[in-house]
Amino acid sequence: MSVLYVCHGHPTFAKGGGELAAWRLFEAFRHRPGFEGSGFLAAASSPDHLPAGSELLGLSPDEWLIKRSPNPFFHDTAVNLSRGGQLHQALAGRNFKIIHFHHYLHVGIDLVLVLKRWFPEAKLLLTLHDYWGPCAYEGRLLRSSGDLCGGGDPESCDQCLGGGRRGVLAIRAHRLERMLGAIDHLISPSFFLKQRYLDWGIDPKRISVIENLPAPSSSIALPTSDADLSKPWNQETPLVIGYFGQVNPWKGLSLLIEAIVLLRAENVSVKLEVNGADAGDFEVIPDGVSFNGCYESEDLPLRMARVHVVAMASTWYENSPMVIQEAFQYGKPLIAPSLGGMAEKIQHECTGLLFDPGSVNSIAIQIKRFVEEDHLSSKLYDNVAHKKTAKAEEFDGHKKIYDALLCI
Amino acid sequence: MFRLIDALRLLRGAAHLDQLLRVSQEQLLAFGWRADAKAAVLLARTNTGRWLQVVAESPNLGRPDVAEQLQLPAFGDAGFQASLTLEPGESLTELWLQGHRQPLELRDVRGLPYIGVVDQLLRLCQAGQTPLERAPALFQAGLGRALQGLAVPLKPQEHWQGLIHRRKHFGVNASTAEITVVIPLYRRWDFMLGHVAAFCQDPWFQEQQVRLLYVVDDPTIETAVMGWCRGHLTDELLDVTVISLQSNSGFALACNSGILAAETPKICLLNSDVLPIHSDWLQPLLRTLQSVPEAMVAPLLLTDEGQIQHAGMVVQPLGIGDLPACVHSLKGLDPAQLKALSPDGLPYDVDLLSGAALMFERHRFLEIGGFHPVFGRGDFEDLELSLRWRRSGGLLKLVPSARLTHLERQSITHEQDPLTQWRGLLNAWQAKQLCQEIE
Repeated sequence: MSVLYVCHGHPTFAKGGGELAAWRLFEAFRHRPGFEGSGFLAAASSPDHLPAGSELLGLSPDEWLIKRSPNPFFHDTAVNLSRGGQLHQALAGRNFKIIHFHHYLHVGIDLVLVLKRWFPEAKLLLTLHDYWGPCAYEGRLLRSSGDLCGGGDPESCDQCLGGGRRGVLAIRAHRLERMLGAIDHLISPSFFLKQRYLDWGIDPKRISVIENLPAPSSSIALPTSDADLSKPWNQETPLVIGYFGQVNPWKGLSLLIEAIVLLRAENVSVKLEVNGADAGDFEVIPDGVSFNGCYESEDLPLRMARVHVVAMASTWYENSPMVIQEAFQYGKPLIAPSLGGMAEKIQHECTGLLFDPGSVNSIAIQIKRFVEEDHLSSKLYDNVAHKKTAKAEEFDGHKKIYDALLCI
Repeated sequence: MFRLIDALRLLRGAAHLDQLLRVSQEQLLAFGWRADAKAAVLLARTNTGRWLQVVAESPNLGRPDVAEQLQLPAFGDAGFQASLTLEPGESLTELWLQGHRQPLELRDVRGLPYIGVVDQLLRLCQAGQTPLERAPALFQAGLGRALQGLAVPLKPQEHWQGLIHRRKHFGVNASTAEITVVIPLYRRWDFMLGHVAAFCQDPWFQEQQVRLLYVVDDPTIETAVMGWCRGHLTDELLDVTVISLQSNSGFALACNSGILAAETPKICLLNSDVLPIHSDWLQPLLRTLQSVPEAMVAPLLLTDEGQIQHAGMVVQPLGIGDLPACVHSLKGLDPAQLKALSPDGLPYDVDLLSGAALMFERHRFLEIGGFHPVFGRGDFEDLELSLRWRRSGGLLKLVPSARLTHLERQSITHEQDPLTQWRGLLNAWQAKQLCQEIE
């Protein structure tokens, strides 16, 4: 049962959660008996990653990069999809039984349709990594005004897009409808995201909720030379909060920084380590905030070891943020907004603390509770430790879906 | 006569003829300005020795540029339009305006692209400078009749056939199809992506009961359209023909050419910005047409938010002269309010139908002459066709159970520039002339 994974980016060049989720599945399945011949097809993050004048690059016999679609609105495909074209030649002779898409962004809807044509016996599966279906603006269900949105209303979508786009919204809707009609089954990594797609009109029977595959346990071990770095927090030492991931306006890092400033002004002993950005990206860096720069996955054990708790402050719903999985893998409780996929994945006062989205005061209150409330932090650590050792069911979940699809 | 010329020159002052256009064998249109408020007087001598005097009686044209040049700020209406009628075989040999001899630079606009001539004439009427209220009288004074004459050669089917310079087929051959969906494209062609996505999910298209025919009425998009079709339609299970016209010919002629090029007995004509809502829209239209073959039937068109956009039209006064306006019945209302007109949801008769979405028998459309080409770029051609259809014994039926989305005015510019307004008024005037039914 060879599987072709199709992704909007290749993790060698783009470190987003969707790319990593797709890649981990590919890595997990490709070496399993019965899954030989699986492949990974991804959109190039930059034309520079492709040979001059080419739409395609073979990274290995089973990995291909294709030219990225420049149109995130119609989701058209930027490569020649005719039989005999470069891509057809690359995939010809393969016998994929499952084509598992992780996103249609950058690879395009046309690719979905053409792969169905080229591999008529294959079953098509799509993991939804964000809200591009109901949200044509930026796929986050976050309006241009910064307000959260339910999605799917042409008037609101048109406003976010600057007006005069009703026509293209209707075209887009038909293209998405056709593509989703060609997909045999959908996977949502969170119930929250599933519900948004149900609200948008997808048949509930067509979506299964399966969490993304976590990083393999072999990759999370701290080098023995650094083993003493990872010490549990006690109230004698400042609480080190870790921020992990990209820094952009909807990740809410500035809210976290403001909360740290507020707490330190109240003499709460707390520090913030930002992983994923450089200090140079910010004009003013308050006391207690440090920037560790970008990181690769192999840097994560050490970076995680330096912090006591992981925090997020996203102002959009998120889906199933990888940082939550990672924090749990490293035994770290989380402090996060009570919003969307984050509120689903983190149980308040069990595996983390949830705060009112967008509220600096609320962030500060929850951090202060973590620091000052008797037994709270130890309870969170215990629960996260239990979660860490729980058997991951994500692989089996995907395997069951693959098996079920082939029985249809 | 020469004394009259001298007197005019002395009395009337400066004047200038901007354009002298031959619009037919017998009719010339003159556009120019004069520097006083009195009527513009044209004196002409023909090759037969006949003298011709024309006093421009149509309303003045706005010419603020002339007022500024002549430093006569109060006289902003210096422009005029005049129509000169010649006898058969006659030609002009000399011409005077307000006593000033004018060079005989006669431009023959016959045979030039019609919609370009319409725009040229409207620009000469100083669209944007001349108040809209003067338009009906200006059209009445010669311009309207001139365009009717220029449209005559565009009416034969041979002309429609001759407009097609390229025809390409993509996808499968739906040889037993009964219906062709004809969609003209102008400027925006991205709606094709929506059509193809929607039609590919429609059992009627999947079962090859329907063909699709695009008319590219815009040479600037032809390469892009053909390229996209080659890349995306070759392997689709749709029967798609794309014809492209030599030049932009306007909605009426694009539709006529497409319908002539189609080969099925029934035609469904759609504006490019009409998209299906569900895949069950063709059946009720076809069923109605089969039961009333002499009918022209139309679906209920909804906005993308679900309100009624088109459920038939009625004529009402525009408020400028006696020009008509097409008013969409029930527009903006919830479709449930249609129950007042059709409690059982069955097709019902209407006064007029919009050209945005129609189904009819091809031979009837061709027999009555198709859309009238005098309407150029578009507007009011559907009103005129509706009335002509009824005059020929046909019926107009609205089928409420067939529903599509009309993204009205998405396929054309949003801006109501003066020229667009004048085109609309001109077409309203033409509709009024062609349809005695309009009171």
